[in-house]
Amino acid sequence: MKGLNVDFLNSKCRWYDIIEVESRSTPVQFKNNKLYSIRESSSSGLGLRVNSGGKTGITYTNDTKRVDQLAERAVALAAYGDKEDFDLPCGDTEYQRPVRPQKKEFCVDSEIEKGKAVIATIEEKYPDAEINMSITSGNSSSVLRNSNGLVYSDDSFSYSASCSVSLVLDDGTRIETGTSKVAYNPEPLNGFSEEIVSIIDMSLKTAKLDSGRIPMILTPRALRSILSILMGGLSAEQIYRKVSPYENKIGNSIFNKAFTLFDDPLMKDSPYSYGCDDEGVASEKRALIENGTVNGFIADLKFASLLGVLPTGHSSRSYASKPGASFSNIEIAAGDIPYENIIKECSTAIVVNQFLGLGQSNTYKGDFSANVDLGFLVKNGEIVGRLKDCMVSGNAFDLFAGDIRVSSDVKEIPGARLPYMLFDGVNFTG
Amino acid sequence: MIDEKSISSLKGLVDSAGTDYAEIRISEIDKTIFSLRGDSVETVSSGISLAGSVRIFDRGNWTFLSFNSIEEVQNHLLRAKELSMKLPAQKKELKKQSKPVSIRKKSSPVIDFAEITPEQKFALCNEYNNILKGSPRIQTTRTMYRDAKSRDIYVNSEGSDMYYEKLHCGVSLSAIAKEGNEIQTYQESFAGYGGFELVNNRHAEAEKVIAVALELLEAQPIEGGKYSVITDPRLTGVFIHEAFGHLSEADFVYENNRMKKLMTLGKVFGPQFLNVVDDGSIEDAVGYIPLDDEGVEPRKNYLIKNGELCGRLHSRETAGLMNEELTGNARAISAMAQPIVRMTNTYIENGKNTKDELFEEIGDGVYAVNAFGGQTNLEMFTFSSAYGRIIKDGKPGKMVKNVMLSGNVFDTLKNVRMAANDMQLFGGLGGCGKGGQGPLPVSFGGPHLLIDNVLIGGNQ
Repeated sequence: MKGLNVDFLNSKCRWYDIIEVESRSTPVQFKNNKLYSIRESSSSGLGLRVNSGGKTGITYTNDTKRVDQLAERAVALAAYGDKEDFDLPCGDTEYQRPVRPQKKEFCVDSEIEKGKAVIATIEEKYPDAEINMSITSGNSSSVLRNSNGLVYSDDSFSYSASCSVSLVLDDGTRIETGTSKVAYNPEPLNGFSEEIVSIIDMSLKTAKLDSGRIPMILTPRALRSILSILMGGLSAEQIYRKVSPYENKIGNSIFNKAFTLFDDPLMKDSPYSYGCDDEGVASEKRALIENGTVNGFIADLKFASLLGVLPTGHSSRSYASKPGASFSNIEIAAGDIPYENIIKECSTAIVVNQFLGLGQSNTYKGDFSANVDLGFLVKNGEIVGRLKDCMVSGNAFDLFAGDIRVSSDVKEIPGARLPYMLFDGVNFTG
Repeated sequence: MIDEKSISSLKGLVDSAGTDYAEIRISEIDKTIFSLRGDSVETVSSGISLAGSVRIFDRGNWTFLSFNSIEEVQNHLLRAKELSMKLPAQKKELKKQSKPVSIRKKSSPVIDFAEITPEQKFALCNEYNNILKGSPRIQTTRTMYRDAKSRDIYVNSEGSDMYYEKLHCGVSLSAIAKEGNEIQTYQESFAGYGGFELVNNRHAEAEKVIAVALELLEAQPIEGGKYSVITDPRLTGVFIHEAFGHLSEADFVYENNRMKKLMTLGKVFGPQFLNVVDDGSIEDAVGYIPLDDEGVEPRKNYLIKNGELCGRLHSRETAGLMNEELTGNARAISAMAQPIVRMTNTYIENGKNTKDELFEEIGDGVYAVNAFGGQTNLEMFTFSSAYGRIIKDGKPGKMVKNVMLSGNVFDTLKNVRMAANDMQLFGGLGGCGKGGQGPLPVSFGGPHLLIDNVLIGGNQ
């Protein structure tokens, strides 16, 4: 903040806030089954939002020599901004901070060994598999200040690892799969090779299915993709602009009662957790959909004010962007039946693990049509082979409103804690 | 502020790095955004960012450091060397340029946007936005204007260097139409290297955006199944970018024997009239680069010629590993990202037929127009057409929606029955994503194509 003309801001602005961020990461990268590179990335920046004459302008820089230009530039831009009547949070706001463990050291040498071990285990069974991996340590710090006296600072750290594998079979069939995890501190990665080998094992045999309507089971990974369609309209901005399918449906039961969806900014063990959003609003766990009823939506200061509701603590911004509401950690309440039993109870169904091109449909309405990138046919309670060259289409809202089964086993994927789910029918084109 | 004078001191650093190869990239970007949504202003922002990186290749390994503290570039280079020593030596060689190049380049705008006042930029956005709002059935709109002035410096230990003052300007126009529970959206985007002339006088395009969005409200969903399809030049471009362009990126091929076998040069991939090109040297296209991000000059690369696979896209590393020529396709989304093999301006060359002849030939089928996007896993691709029209007896008729096309790359290229002679290139404010780097400015295009047996998802 050194160099920022605070006197000028105080004299010209109704309010202003400043976000300063600093981050550092060290990714170790494996490419084509070999250690490929070590990287170090460091960046910092400062963003200034001002409300002058009732209108808002944003400016930013990551050049310490230019901080002195920010105040005048932001006030000049505000002349073209939107009229914004809301106020910023006060300095006495109370926050619940996420519980973070003690930070452990990220040792490049031992992470290299972990990566090599994952690759060696996969190669042992599938020598032709092309394996890419990335293992990253990240540290970030941020300080939010505003003209109402609020100062909130946070330091966080994370460990993330991802592995993607592609295997081309003799007939040209390509099997693509992968897995990832995010935690605070370095963790064992043994599970990566086991998960990937078992998916490839299942994919070797192909199966055929005629086009038509068919029950669909989504793995947590595929479920996360479909949820993006469902969640797109659960924001104050979409509702205010009347392009949300949930407009006038808050409080209505429109989904199956077995479906409950939470957003939890304070989720334990998630490095995505935070106690205060990027506008200074305290965060808390919310049921967005509870037993099939639409309970609420996420809102930043601007759209909460326009709708006459309270902000929800979901505002997110980089130093160079305007704030906007975004989801934190997503959770679906677990059901009462193990995934294994869901499969056993199906006479004919498909299991989808990953989609290709899902987000390209008209998602405002919930419609989707996507290639099944990795999917399997279930016959008489067993997975019998991989389905290739096929598509599924349907409507995400109809899926969650229809008959569903939710598994009792839940999997953590980055930014989400999700079960397996069975839906009663999608259109299958093969 | 960074300027051309910094080049000599940076060259001194890479020359004395004591590594097999070293390069430094530094950039400064001054960007302004005006964005309107419906009746309100969404964003008014402006800022200046610095970005820098050093990358070294030593004993067969890469080490890459990115930062915005550009005054400490010498320390970052030392740190890169220190980290590099943690990596075990590998046997790998980079392809070298035959001779060093020195580029000094400056965009030549017709109307420099620095001379256009914020009032004028804002007024233009309002004009377009008012057109987009021109029906009670338009629920909301988005008009975004973006301009960016950047200075890019590149030096490497082979003796190449570049100073590039680049102006980039673009606008995107979208309308969301709503009636009852039906919501449809349509958008167009225009951008390029140049000035305000790139975004001026786009009123007719704004009229088209609202007209299509409204017509989509009336459209029925297409029935799922296999169709003969005519793709318009924009969708042809998305198809060739997604379905084939990514497959030509050598980093996907070089250490995978089976992919190498599938992508053997000389193999027949399509009909005799099929020619596919990637060319980063087309100056007025969005994917233009004076040098790639490894200091290699771009060139016109044929990927398919007369239906046969004849080339692929390379970085120094992949060209070295496959012992093929450099193509100038190592690109990074910013100076803080590592260069990877990427496309530039990718297109299918003109065929001999007219567009009308394609419609006569098809008889019944689907005319798939424009694209929302596309994705590939290298074997299968999916791309969504913005809308379609059912063709009956060679005539495009009623509009259909939810036209999501999918298929196997190799089969679909062979199923191209005819190509028209009306090639166009497209590129907007969006771009291509790969390896977490996106949107990278690229252009894509081609002529109208007639393709058989295309899988389209939907109700039966």
